[in-house]
This record gives sequence, structure tokens and C-alpha cells, in this order.
Amino acid sequence: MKEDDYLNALKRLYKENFASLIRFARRFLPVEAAKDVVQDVFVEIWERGDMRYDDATVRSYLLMCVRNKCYNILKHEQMKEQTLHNIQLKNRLLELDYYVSIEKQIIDDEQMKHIYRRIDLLPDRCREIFKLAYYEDKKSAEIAQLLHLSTRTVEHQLYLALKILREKLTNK
Amino acid sequence: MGNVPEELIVRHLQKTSSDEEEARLHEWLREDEQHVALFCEMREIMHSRNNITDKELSLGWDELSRRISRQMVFRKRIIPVWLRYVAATVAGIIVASSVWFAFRPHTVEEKVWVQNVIYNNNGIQKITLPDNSVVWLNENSKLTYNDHFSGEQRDVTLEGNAFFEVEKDVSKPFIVNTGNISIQVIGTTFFIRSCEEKHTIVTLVSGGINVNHTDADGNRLTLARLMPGQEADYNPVTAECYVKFVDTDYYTVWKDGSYRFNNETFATIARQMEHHFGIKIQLSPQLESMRFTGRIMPEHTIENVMEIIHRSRPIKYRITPSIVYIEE
Repeated sequence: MKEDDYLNALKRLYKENFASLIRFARRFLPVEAAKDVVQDVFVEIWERGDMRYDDATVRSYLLMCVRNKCYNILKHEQMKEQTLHNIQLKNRLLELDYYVSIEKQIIDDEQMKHIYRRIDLLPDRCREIFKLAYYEDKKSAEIAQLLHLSTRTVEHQLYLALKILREKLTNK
Repeated sequence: MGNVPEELIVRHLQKTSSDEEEARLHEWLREDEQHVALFCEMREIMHSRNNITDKELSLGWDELSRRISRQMVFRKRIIPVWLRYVAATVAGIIVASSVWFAFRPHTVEEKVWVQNVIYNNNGIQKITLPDNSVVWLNENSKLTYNDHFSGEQRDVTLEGNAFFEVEKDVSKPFIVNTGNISIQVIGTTFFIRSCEEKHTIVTLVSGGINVNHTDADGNRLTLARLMPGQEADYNPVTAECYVKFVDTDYYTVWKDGSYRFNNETFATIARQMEHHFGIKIQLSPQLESMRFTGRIMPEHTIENVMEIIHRSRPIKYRITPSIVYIEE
């Protein structure tokens, strides 16, 4: 493959996968670290020069590279902080263990386009509460105060919203 | 799926859970793979809010292409030519790598070698070879070596100047080929200056090396066996080789890119400058004991350095192509 072709292939690979990879990494790492991890994966592919452009496997391969890097970083964190936040880290690692392939992800770029419409289709009360949490990052206690509800009710409605969205996305 | 601890999941997603709640969530997750699936999917939905913008996407690509261009490695497959390479200038350094096939007429076996050609046209470049030997390659110098040193000896070819720190390996001699001489090394540090049609100068800092000459018929003749601190000066025209003792300090500091001097006499500094710029300096005796502190950077020319010295001390100087005259 010619150098220019190779660079173009990398660019295509990048454009088609960067968003979903960064979305994944940000669930586990702070914004900057997540960006670095994804960039590193592409740089390594470039350096090794073994890029095979095969849509079926390459997406999964990229995600696994990102996942492994996230895993190593969290594992390293875990060793540094013996007790503090250790349980949160354990839950993160458990989560990373779950992602053994791309199929485990339920929101791809295509689904991403419809997610806001799906939120708009939630039942009235559920939608109102979920939007405050989702778009404005409000905590349950704040929403409860705002809408004169109990925190427990808000939590239940948020869970319900997630449950409905999950069913739509996974067809369960 | 039994009882789902709704509030634990929601609190986790909102980052309001206590350590005790996290521990309970952890226990629940470990009970069943289905629990993990539910939890992961809900977290994915909640986090879909953090989608990236087109601007972030294009900024990310800009950053990525910057990082790549810094370490551009060119790969090209050429069949079945002797040796060719592609090169491109990137930040002043050219790194080229080419693959070619060597066909052996009497066998069907086909061998693939990767030949690395490093051409450095700016500053001093530090290169680590496959056997962990380190080479500091000077400006406008070229180093060629086999990717894995898979043969019986570690062969490299040098055009220009370089400082070598060779990993010891008695079973696999390290050979530097330059012009029609080769330097055979076991494990050592030395400096080579070579130019086509000009003298090749090899300075040994530590260890031991043989300077060999290979004639047109392939016969190898040892011209000199150097001891630490010695320098061999080989003249390709007369095929003569002279050996003398020299001050090797300059070469050990050269590889660090800049030459520093700390309260040293003008006489010493002038000698180092002669090495550094490849010129003669004629220093008037009254100035020899004058002391200076400073450093010469790779980008400095003799004119720059003389101007700096001139600014700090009232000296007179005149630069000609081959000699610099310095007077009080």
C-alpha cells in the first residue's frame, strides 16, 4: 500500500470509529486521558503498519485496544490507591470485563442519532425527570426539590426511563 | 432477573453513592452476568450524552496526524532490486525503511530483509539499534543497517559522522563499513568521521577496535588496532593510516548535542572548537589562559560563537575559510 493510501485509510478508520471509541473511553477515564488512550491506539496501528481494513473485525479490534488500555490504567490506579475509591474501581473493572466484543455495546453511531428522539418518546413524567438528569446533569435530590417529589420517586422514575430506553435499544 | 437495586444503580450513575452502596452494588453485580449486562447498558445510555462534536473530531485528527508525522516511518516493498529507499523530510529528520527480496539463484528459498536507512539532516540524532547499541548520528550523515542483525555479524554502513556505543556481543562482531574501510568492534565507544574522497577518522573512547581495509579482491587487511584515547586517520588516496593519541573528551560531550565549558581556558575551548567546526584556530598566546563559561549549541556557527565571545571580552578576530585568527 502506498504511503498516501495508507494515510487515507487511517483517516477513514479514524473518522468512522473515533466517536464511538471516545464515548467508550470516557465512561472509564477522565476526558483528557480518554482522548490520549484513543489517540495512542491509532498511533500504534500506524507505527506497526499492519492495518487491515476489514469493517467487520476492525471496529471490534479497535474497541478492544481501547478497552485494554483503559483496563491497564484502572488496574494501575487500583494498585496506587489501596483503599480509597477502590470499590468504584472494582466496579469499573468488572464493567470492562464485560466488554469482550463490540456487540456488547448497545449504542453505535447509528443509534446515537436516534437517542434524543427516543428520549422524547418516554412517558410524560418519566421524560421530564430523565431530561433534567440527562441533559442538565442534575442529581436526584435536586430534581426532587425542583418538582416537589421525594428523592426515592425521582430515582424510581430515572430507573424506569433507563429501563424503557434499554428495552428499545436491545429489543428486549 | 430478581430484585434490581434500582436506587444503587441510579446513585452510581449520578456519582452520589457512598462506598457502602458501591460495595453493595458490587456484590449484586458479581451475582450474575445478566446483572453486569443491565448495569453496563444503563451506563452506556446515561453516558450517550457525552457525544463528541464534529469540531472535536477534526481537532482529534489534526492532533493524530501531527503525532504521526513526527515519527513518519516509510515502508516500501521493492522487488528484486539491490537497495533502494524512499525518504521524506519530516522535522529535519529523514527516516526511511525499505523491504526488498534477495533471491538466491541456487535455492528456491526467498528471504525478506528490512533495510533501515536513516538520513539525518538536522542536529544530532540518537538511534538505538536492534541490539541496543546506540548511535549518535551527526547532521548530514547517513546510517544503514539490517533490521534484525540476523547475519553472523552486525553490519552497519556509515556516511558522515557518528558516535557509537556498541553493546558487547563476542559471538557477533559489530562492523561499521565506511568507504573502503571497515571498523571491527566487540563492545566499545568510538567516534567516526568519514567523507567520500576524504580522510576517515576513527577515535576510540573505550574498548578496542580494529580498522580494516578491504581491497577490490575482497582481501581484508588490518590497518590499525586502536587503544582507548587513540585516533586513526585513514587517507583513501594514499591508503595510509596514522595513529595518534588525542583528547577524547570532546566526543563524549558532542553526542549530547551541545558542548559546554565551565571556567575553561581559551586554549582548551579553541581546541574543542577546532574539532567542532572542523577549522584551525590561531590563538594569540596572551589569550590562552583567559577563562570562559558557556556552551556551543548544535545550531551555532563559528561566526555566532566568535560574536558571543567578542561581546564578553575585547578580542579581535578574523574568520577565513580555513583558519580563525584571534588576537588581543
